[in-house]
Amino acid sequence: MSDFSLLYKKYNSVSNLTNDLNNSVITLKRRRVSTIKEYTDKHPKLAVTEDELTKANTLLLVILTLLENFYKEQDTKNELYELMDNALFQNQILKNVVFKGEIANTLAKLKSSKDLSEKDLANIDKFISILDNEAAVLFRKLRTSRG
Amino acid sequence: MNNFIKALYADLLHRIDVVVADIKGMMHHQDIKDRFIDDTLSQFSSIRSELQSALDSGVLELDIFSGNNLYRFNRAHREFKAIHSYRYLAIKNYKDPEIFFYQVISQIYSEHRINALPPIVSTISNHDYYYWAVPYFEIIALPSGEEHSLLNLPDMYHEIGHLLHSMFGGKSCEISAIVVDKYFAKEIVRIIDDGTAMHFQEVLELAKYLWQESWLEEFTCDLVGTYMTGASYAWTNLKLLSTGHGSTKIFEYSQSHPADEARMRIIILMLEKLGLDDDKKKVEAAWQVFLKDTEVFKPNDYSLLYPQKLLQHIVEEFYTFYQNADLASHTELLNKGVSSISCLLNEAWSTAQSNPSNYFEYEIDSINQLRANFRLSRI
Repeated sequence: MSDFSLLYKKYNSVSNLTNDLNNSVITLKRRRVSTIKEYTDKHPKLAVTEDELTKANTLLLVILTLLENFYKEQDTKNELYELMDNALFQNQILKNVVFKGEIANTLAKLKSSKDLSEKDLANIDKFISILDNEAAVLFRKLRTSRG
Repeated sequence: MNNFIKALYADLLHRIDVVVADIKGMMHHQDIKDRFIDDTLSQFSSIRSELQSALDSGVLELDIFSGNNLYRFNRAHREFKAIHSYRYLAIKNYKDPEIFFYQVISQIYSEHRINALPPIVSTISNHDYYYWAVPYFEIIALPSGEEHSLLNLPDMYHEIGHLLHSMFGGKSCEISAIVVDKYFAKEIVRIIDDGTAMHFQEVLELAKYLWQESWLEEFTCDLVGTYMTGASYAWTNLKLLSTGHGSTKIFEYSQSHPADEARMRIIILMLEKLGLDDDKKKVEAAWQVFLKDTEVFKPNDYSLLYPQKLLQHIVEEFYTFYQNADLASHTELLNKGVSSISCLLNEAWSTAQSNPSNYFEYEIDSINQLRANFRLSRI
C-alpha cells in the first residue's frame, strides 16, 4: 500500500523518456562534429555508426510525435500526461505557440528524413531540460513518499 | 564548464567504486548472495560503464554537449542514489529479521504456487512509511520491528500483489480496464446530456485517469491479499483504515489509492467469491458499524466513482485469472487442512479478537514456532 510504487513508476517513465531523447540528441550532435577533422583527430571515438543514427532519428520521431499528439489532445494515456502539473512544461512547452510551431517543423524534417538544424536540436534540448526537471521533482518526492 | 562536468563524472565513478568494493568485501547471507548481490553489482556496473563510455568518447571535451552531459550525469546520479538508498541499504541491513522474513515469504510463494523467485524483505521502512514494494528493486520493505507481530503481515500479500501485477503485465484486470474506461466515457456523456457536467465532469475525468493510473492495480493488490489470506486481510485493512485515516476519511481518494470504502467493498466481494461466508458476515458486521458513523460525510459524487458492478467485474476477472494461473487461494489451503502462513494469520486475528488478554503470549509462541520451523533461534 504505497505511494512509493506509483511515484517510482512515474519517475521511471519520465526518466526513460529523458534518457532516450538525450542520447538521441547526443548521437546527432556527434554526427555533426565528427565531420570536423580537428575534432575527430583529437577524439576518434566521437564518430557514430549509421545504425546508431537511424535509432536516434527513430526515437526522436516517436517522442516528438507523442508531443505533437499531446498538443492536439491532452490524453491521459499519453506518457507526457505525467508532466501536466509541471509549470515549466505548461508555460514553455504547452502554451508556447512559437515552440509548438518549431517542433512541428522538426517533426516534419524527421518524417521526410532530412537533417535537423542546430536550432532544431536546441529546441529538443529545451524539452529535455524540462523533462529532466520533472524527473528530479519526482525523484525528490520519492524520498518523502514511501509508505 | 567542461572541467566541472568532468569532475562530477569522476566523483560519481569514485563513489560507485567505493560502494562496489564495500559490497564485494562483505560476507553475504546465502539468501542474497547470488541473485540480489549480483543484480545490485550489475546495476552499479551499468551506470559506471555509461559514464566511462561518455568520458572515453570525447563528448565531455566539447561545449556543444555541455547540457546533454549534465542531463546524463543527473540521471546517472539519481539511479546511483536509488540503488544506494534501497538495494545497498537492504544489503547492509540484512540481519536476523530479514533472514526470518525471507523464510516467511519463500513459504508463502511455495504455498500459493507463485512461480517466481521471492523478493528480499527488508525492515528498512518505519511505521509512517509502512509497507511498500518496488518490483524494480526486488524489495518489499516493512517497518523495523515488524518481525515481532502478525496482525499487519497480511499487508505483505498486498505488496506481493504489486510484484504479481508487474509479473503478469496487468493481465489479471485487462478486461476490467476496458470496462472501467467505457463506464466513465458513458457517464461523462450522460452528465453532459443531463446538464450536470459543471458539477461532475471534472471529477469523472480525473477518476477515469486515476483508475487506469493506479486504482485498478491497487484494487487487484487488495484482491491478492484477500484471495491468499481471506478474512485476515480484511481485518488488517480495517485496522489500517481506522487507525491510519480515521472514520471521516474513508470516502477520500488520492492519486495513488482509491477510497478506503471502495477497497473494503471489493475485499468483502472477494470473501464472498471465495465462499468464506461466516468470515464475510463477521467482517461485514464490523464494517457496517464503522460505516454507520461515517455515512454523513459521504460526498455527493462518490457513488459515481466506484459502482458496485465495476468492483464485481474486477473480482470475477481476477478470480478466473488466478484460478487459471493455478495460484492457490486461502480457501484451497484451508480445505486441504495444511498448516499455512495464511491460516496462521487468520488464527492470529481470531485469537486477538476472542482472547485479547492472552494475545501477546499467543503471538510470541506462534512466531517462535515459525522460527523453529525455519531453524532460527527464539526471540
